[in-house]
Amino acid sequence: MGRPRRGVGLREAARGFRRGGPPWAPVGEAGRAARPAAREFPTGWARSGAARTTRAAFLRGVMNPLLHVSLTADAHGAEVFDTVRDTPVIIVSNHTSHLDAPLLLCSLPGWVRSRTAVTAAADYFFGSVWRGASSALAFATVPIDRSGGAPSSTPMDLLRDGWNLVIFPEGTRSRDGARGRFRLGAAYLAINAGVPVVPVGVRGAFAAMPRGRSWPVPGRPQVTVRFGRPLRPVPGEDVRTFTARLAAEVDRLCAEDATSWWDATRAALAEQPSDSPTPPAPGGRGGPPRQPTAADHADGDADGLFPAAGPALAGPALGGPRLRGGDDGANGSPSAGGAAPTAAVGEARTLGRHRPRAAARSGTGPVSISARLRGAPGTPTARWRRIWAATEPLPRSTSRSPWRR
Amino acid sequence: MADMERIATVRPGFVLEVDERTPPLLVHSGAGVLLERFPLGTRVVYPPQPRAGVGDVDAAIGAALAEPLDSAPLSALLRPGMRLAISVDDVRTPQPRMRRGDVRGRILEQVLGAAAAAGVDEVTLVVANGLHRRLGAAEVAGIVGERVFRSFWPTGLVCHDAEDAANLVEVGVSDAGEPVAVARAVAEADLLVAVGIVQGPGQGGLGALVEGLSSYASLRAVHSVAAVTQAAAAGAGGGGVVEGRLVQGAAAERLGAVLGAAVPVFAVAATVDAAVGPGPFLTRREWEWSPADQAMAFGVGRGLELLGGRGRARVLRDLAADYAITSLSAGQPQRVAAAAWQAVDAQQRVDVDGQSDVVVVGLPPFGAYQGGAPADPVLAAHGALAEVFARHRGRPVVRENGAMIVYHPVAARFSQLHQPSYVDFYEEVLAESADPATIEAKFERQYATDPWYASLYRTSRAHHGVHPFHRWYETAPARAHLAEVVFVGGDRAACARLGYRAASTLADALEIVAGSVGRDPSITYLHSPPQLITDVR
Repeated sequence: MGRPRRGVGLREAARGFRRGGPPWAPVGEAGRAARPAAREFPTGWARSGAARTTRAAFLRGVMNPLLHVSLTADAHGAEVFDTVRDTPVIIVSNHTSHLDAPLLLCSLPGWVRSRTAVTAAADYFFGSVWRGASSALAFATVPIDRSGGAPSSTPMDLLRDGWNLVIFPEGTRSRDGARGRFRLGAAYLAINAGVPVVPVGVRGAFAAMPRGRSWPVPGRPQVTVRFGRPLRPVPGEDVRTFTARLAAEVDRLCAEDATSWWDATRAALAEQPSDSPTPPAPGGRGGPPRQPTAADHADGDADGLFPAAGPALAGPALGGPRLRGGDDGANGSPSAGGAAPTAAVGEARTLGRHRPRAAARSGTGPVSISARLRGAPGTPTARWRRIWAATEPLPRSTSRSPWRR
Repeated sequence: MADMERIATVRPGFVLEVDERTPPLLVHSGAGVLLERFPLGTRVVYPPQPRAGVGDVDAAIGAALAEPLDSAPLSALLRPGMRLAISVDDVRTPQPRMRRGDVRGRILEQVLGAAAAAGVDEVTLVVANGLHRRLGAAEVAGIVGERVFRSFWPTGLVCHDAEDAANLVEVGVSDAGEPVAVARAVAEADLLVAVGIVQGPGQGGLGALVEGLSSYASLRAVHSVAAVTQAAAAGAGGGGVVEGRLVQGAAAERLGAVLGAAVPVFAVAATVDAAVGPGPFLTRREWEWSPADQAMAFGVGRGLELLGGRGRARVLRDLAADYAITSLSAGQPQRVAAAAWQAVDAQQRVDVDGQSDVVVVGLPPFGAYQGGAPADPVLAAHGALAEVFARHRGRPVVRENGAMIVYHPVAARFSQLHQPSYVDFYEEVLAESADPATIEAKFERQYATDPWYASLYRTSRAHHGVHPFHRWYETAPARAHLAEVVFVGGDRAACARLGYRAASTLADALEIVAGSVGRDPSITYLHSPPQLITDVR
């Protein structure tokens, strides 16, 4: 034991170094000073003709074969894009793995893929110049700031220029394979830009390459991409209701893959509260809109696409009843940026808490404990069973590889 | 710009008289296309150009289901606990097949969505293939769509088996004393939803429904030579709407009425435009072809010729068309059929002045029974003499005792998988006689009850043993009407077996028919592919 050294060693010091990108500021510093409008990573060049040609060659010649070598990848329902040939679309998917974006892009018809951009977290993908540039070139990513603040105008500009946009409304990859809460950005964009949304269910990607892995698990696991029919916001539908509709459709698509289309459709109809039509009646206020589930609006809305501050909600297209805040304290953590004022939460509570569970079994009386445990329709157990079935493919007991039997 | 206007406005069909400035015209010739110069003065009947389809197909389906013809909306007919049967047309329509997402799959999804919303649990889907070959899984998936297929195949979605006695239930007896047996799932259903595509006159309706879901014993009378002749004499050749009145074979109507009385039927029918094959040059007038169209027409013709054999078979098998859905109707089956026929009629009808001595037709490489392959001799004769000949409204385009010249390489090649009974029909039956009535009396029963054909029909993809007989009977009206039939490019031995003549060129064919129609006959060419209905005045 020598003399205690002053200061940190080289290893410790190197941990704080960065090899590119903006300097890290202490959290306290960032919180104190008003965040300047961050300079957005330039990605316009990645949508030029040369970059598109390069990308098309990369996706078709490298990425697609690679995916099919390492996965058993299937895509169904891509013909829905034939019905929306005349308008750009927003493609909304669940997000469980880094495989999602390449899989999704490779499953699109060529003419859609050539004009499709993927929204990606600015803090993750555009942290360094190399990472940002390569992902922009390979997957046409555009940076989205997840830390709150003024939303970027790029997504809206892209839609106006006729580009399709892939958005993962969860904002991040799932930690456990189950779908996370959908943020409101995608629905907000769809309503304001007046474009349809194509919901997509990707199933099996979590089992194939969960967080923490950089390569799919061996044995060519099954991954399925299912495109649903395009959804359009009905006149007067508000952002939350439309988001809930999108989330329900993505869930249904995952469940469809786990079971079958017929079973998933019936299950979705059984789950739906009897007094809420889907889609909600035009006008929004005329009939009760489909209430988002607890997970849909549990906490903040900051996903970089939706204006997080309360007043911004009162846009011209938002005619429906506004629901803010969660319905129970357990999930109702404050907004990520602290943007939603408490007054708005209190107001929402006075406007009316939704009670989807009570509505679902109105007239049938309370469900007994044993029924809940058994997983009778309409109970949380049944819902969780379906979510598990939809998100976790059954583990393959035997591998196809002759060396892994 | 002019191109855009041409596409935007749909032009009706018309009759062109060939003069010195007329370019060589496109003719289908069984396995390919060729460009042919016709004698001066030949009348060329062009079908109307394809119409624009409905904008939003899903919305149109929803509107048709919500406001049906002569029926309550579908959602009002569904109730929890009921047994719902859904019948779907097989691959016979449309031909060539529909590329990307068959409209029947979209109709089925909406029908099943309504059933799910109404709490219907017991649903059975039956592919109404009748005595035609049963379909493979991929073909069924192509029709009903992947979602419905994966949800119901193979227990809840089946191909009809006309030889499965245990699964056929008699639902009644017709006025003429014929017992009508249909698939059990249909007979015992509380509601039958019939989903189909109508591409020509006479398709759809209760008669066609019985044909798809019944057995040989029940259908025998419908397809007899007498019934076919009587139906042709009744008016429209293949059925259709004549002066606002439904015309279908009387026998088919009889059986359809029995099914309609036994099971409530809700029909949904879509009509498609006349899009055919690859490239728009097939539906454009030759003198308006762009250089690209000309190159395409020439290249396709020569390319298919050069490919030959397996390569050509592969190209033809993969043939598919981008159809536009021109109308959607739902409700009472006969009303739906009439509405669909009206839409088809408006799309395909061409007024023609007077009959002619000779009619020339080119047969396309696709058809209801051969799928995507050049037809064998029996189906080639059926294509020309039954399908094309019957495309008129009461009066054929060729006069009685006139002549028909058909472009087709009548090669005696049969599908080993689909046509085992055709091989024997060609080798045994036609060698003895080509007369439909004689064949019916002497051979039909033997072929229809042959256990080997029945086994292949049930377990493989073969047409029923009686299938070639029924196709041959349907040529009876044309055989009676025409004095001579000549196949240009046809195999001589095969044509002789059918009782017809073969010629190598159009000039030779006209020389051959000169004996019956004279040296200077009036000629009418039904422009390829002959998807038109002539209204001869």
